[in-house]
Amino acid sequence: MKTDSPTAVELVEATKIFRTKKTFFGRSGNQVTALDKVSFSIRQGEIFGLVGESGSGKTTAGRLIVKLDEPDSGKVLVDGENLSEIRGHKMKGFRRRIQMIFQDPYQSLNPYLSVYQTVCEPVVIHRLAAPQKRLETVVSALSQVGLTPPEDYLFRYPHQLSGGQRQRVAIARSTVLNPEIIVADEPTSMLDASISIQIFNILVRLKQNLNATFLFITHSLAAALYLCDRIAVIRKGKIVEMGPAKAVIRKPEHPYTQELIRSQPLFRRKTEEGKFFRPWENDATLS
Amino acid sequence: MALLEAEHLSIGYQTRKGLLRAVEDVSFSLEPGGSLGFVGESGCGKTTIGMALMGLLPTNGSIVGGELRFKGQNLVGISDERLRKLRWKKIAMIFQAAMNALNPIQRVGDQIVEAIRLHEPEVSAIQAAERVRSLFSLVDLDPERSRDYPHQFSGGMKQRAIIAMALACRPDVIIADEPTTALDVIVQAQILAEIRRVQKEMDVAVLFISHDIAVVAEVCRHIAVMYAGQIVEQGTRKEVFETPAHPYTRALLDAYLTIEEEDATLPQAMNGESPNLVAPPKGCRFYDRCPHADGQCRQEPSAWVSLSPTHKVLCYGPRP
Repeated sequence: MKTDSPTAVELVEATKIFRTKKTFFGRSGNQVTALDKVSFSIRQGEIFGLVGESGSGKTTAGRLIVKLDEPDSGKVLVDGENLSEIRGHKMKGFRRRIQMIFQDPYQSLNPYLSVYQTVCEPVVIHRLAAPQKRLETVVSALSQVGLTPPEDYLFRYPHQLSGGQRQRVAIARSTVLNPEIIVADEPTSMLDASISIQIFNILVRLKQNLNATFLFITHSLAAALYLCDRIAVIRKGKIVEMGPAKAVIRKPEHPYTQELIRSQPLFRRKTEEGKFFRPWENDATLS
Repeated sequence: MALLEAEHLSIGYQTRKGLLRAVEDVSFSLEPGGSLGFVGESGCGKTTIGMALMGLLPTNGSIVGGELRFKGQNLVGISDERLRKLRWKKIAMIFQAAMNALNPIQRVGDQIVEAIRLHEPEVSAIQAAERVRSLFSLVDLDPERSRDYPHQFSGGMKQRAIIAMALACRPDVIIADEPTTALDVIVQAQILAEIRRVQKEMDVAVLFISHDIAVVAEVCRHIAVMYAGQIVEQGTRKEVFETPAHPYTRALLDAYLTIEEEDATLPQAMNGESPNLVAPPKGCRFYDRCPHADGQCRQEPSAWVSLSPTHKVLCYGPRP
């Protein structure tokens, strides 16, 4: 990634407030500021990480970029165009270019659709391939995410797949459109460590093949370090620190980032002298 | 005598496709006041072992072989009546989703009082409430908050309340099933420190179940690595994490991402997925995914190899 790449996505002072409804007895609703004047920009072709704990607003930011939610104030710009001003037919074009991979593959796939139907649906909607070419398109999308041989998976339903396979199908469903921007919202938080690595490897390969821009939303600093070019640490709707992933993690400046790093498990961490910490060296702390 | 002991324990679930052998020929023991961590990926059988210990297997699940002993008493086939006396009083459990383990319409303190008085009827309500207050201080919760409802607690506070509840009857052993999985990393660090401290102060044995090697490495003296229903490696945490012998243990360690890595390039993933346990493979269950597998591994089940008095591995060709 070159640092002078043009900006693909930009959030300008985006604010999103969720209000709970007034109750029947007239108690006024509460409001939660999920995003508070958040600004960041993602360069073309990079993986930008948004790191935060639950409730920090990281998912909300992702949803604004794919226009599943509208900001209450501020702007979301994609290739310089304000998303909230795009409507109708033009928006459909944008939807093809911006895709999202959701957190939970157990909920994001329709249980009544086979793998073929799931991955083919966006192809039909966006008229990407002639009917006789659809099968070919789906098969190639499936093999790109490592579901091989693809023919074995075409007519399976989500309940016949493991969690890792489901997430691969969900990835194929979004990448079959050759999107330019992909928002991946904690794509591995429901998966085992070894399966997560498989998914991460697929994402990195896709980034190279599609030359796409990624927003990678995660709670894991370690995953962000391995995958992302730059990261932003978000807390309670505000970005507290932003920079190249390595720099932020090696030399955190904000107290919150420092606390996040201190709270990482000691396993395979280094002590101040630069040696790997070995929890078993002080067995006395255990009974 | 070991506090908790399993010998050749097998547990199966009756499914439409036949008996799913979720736990196969598992042996382990836990000393009074000791700590043992089960680590493995989803579906490896670790939660099933915890549920069997509590007598909480679902109706289609049952112990199909072996023995499970608590203080020398076999828990297999024990009457519900006698099991109820052990459960919570002697063996308590911290469940996976603390958020859902509390009754939303009862005050947190009252729920703990109820647990105490159910198992110790001789304790008066006032004494029980007093005990709740001291338990709350023990787990770093403000005793005044015992009159709150669960929704007034944060996730970490709920988990502390659950730990307090597990300790309420001064059990000999606590089974902690993924107690920090649903929590953020800062809260996780606090809860793990809490569990370590409580374990030491109350001298209670802990059987820890987690998919996260970092978590068990921090709180458990002994480690059992599980794969596809079997324990594949067992030893002290130093042995298992510094000189891992089973290829699966090594793969798990390789898949662990840390923020210390200098170049931070993604490790190569181990391919494939765990085998189907309705019809498990004839040979080694890790055969398909193992980089060192040979013909023998495919044909014959692996056998235990002792590497030290405390360290053993279920593999023919463990390489140092």
